[in-house]
Amino acid sequence: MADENLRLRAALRDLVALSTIPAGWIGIEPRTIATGLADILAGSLGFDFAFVRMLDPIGGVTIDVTSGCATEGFLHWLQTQLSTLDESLRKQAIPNVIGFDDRPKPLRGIIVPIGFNAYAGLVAVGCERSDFPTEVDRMLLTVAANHAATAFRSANLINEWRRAEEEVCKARDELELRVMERTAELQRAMVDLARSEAKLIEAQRVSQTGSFVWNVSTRERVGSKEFFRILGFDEPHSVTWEMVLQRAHPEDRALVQQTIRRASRAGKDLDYKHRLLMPDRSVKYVHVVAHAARNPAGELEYVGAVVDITATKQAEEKLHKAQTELARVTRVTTLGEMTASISHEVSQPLAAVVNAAGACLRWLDGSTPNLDEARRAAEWAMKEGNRAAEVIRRVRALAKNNESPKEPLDINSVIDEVIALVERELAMRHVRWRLELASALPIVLADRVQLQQVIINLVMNGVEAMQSIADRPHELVIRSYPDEAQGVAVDVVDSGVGLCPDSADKLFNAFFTTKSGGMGMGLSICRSIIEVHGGRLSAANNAGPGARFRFTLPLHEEVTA
Amino acid sequence: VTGSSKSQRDLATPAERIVFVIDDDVAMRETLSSLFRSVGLRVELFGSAREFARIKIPETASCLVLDIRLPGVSGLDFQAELADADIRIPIIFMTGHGDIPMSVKAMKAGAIDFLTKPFRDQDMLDAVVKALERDQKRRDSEKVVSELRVRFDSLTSREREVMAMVVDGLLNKQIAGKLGVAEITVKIHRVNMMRKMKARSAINLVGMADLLGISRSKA
Repeated sequence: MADENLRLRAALRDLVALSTIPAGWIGIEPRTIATGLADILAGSLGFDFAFVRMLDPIGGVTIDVTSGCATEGFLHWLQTQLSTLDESLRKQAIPNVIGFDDRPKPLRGIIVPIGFNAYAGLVAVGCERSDFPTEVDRMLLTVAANHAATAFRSANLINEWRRAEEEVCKARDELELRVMERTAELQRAMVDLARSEAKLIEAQRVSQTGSFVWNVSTRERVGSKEFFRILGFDEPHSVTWEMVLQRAHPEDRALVQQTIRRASRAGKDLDYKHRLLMPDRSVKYVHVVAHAARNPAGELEYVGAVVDITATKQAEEKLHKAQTELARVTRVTTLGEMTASISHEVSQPLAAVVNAAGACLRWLDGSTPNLDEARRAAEWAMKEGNRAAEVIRRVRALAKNNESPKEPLDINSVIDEVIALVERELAMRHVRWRLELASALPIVLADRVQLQQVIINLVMNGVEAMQSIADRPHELVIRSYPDEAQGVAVDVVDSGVGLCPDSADKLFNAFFTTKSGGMGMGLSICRSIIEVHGGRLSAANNAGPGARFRFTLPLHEEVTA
Repeated sequence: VTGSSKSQRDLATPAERIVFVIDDDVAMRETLSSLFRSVGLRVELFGSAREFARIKIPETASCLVLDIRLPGVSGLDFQAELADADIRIPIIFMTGHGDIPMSVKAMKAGAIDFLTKPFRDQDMLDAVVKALERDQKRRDSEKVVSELRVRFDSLTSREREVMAMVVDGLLNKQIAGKLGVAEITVKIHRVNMMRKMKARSAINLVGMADLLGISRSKA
């Protein structure tokens, strides 16, 4: 009874000792648990040998720890058991092995699983006591194994928690990195955006182009800085379309209004030019281009641009003025070159007028006035006076600065007028000329004086091209005929030196000349005149000697229709 | 253009003076014609120098009015052609250009006047009258010389010798000495010569010799 008492006391003491273990094992790795367990079994609980195998859940590593001494026979048995028992351990079969003879006292062994289904490992214990294993031994071993299993589980939990925590950390780090990257990207994008916006503003300022969005339904206009600058509004704010319209030049306002109303009603794109009258009374020219689109709300919206074309317009006007002036100077120069002919054209009839008038007076003053002769002389005076006046009118028209309006005209009449001006010059230079004018040519719409200038230029060029020719007659033909495109074509054909192949393509360039005294403007101006009339001026060599200049003019539809 | 038959008929009335006009401008021709006819001159009109060159100029005072720039041939060249052909008709040039170098050339070549169109009608009439007067004078002097030539041609060679010496101012005795004849023989030759030449005096004879182009040294 006393023994029993002692034994129970000892068992209780061991149990208490064991119960303190878990607190020490919390948060400990499986290897430490295994070592601790083996030490407790072989030390504190008084078993001669302990073997602990734990399965480290991280990476599935097996940890084997031994404590105390074991006989070879025991170890051999253990080895055999381990290799065969894994399966039975998992099946909760706990084999008891008793009796080993190779020690002074035989070593008795037992194997206990750690955790349900031995998921955490197993414990093998050897003891020399002959009553081993008693109920108490089993109980203590099971308690120890359970504690180890709990520790193992908590270690696993802690591990998992740590791992989770690590993963969270990692995820958080990654997230932070991403956020940083994104932020940097965003910043870069912001900088880029700011830069491109600055560029856009600069581009708009330089190109004098303002962009705008105009909502037709809300009548609101939102525009770029340049848009407001062009329109002369100080603060970039959204303005109403009425305010914008107010800026249109009073003479253009109705037209602008009508254009916009018509386009917006049909949902069509806008493209128009008009003038602005600024608060300081200055006038600007703008070109408005806008694309019609529906916004998400289904409202009609115009997205477009306003270009300040004032400078372009002014430059165009200056260029036009300069061209007109140049054309006039060339005309006057041509006239200057022909002064001898022209003064002859005037002096000839004037001399005739003086003769006739003098004769008339003398016929009347005689003792028996000869009225018939006097009348005939007066008629001559009248006729020749008109002839002089006509020459002067023609010359003045050619020298005039202002453009005469285009009028429907018969090209043959223009050719006749030119011949009247240059006839004398042709005779002087021993040029044999003839006209081959087609009858009933279509009417063309043209500036009579400019066409005269072109034909005079071509004729004089032809005459000059023949001047150095000594071995063949100087022949000039002016031909008019209907061209393929139902317009009118005029050829001026000479028998001169012809065109040099090198110069053929440069012929119509300004300042290109083969003449020592030429300005090189004649053909260049001729071509621009013809092109302004919608025609073409070309040059080619004849099959025989000489060159042929040809211009075409389109048919004047309104008249013939 | 007047036909040549009319010109031939008009030869019968040598007193009539003729103005020839060459101009390619019909108005110029017709108005000049009217102007000249209004002061009683006869006018013949030509469109070109070639047309004028085909007719024979009648033996009457006449002049030529022409434009210096004619189609085909220049007025100056035509003036030279006429001179080469020894047709000494006075020329009045017209020009539409006031061409000074040309006018100088024309005047040097013997033109009467050089009128720039348009000219005053009176200037043209004055020029024409002057030209006709000069032509008349020329014709008169040519007539005298040709008569003198006829007289001179009627002289015997001895009479011509005597005439040359008389013009040189030699006395009868000196002439007789030079010719190796008697002084009385020289006197007979001299009387015959002076009668044939219709010379009133020795001084008169010197003038005739000058017109005939007989220089004293030559004798």
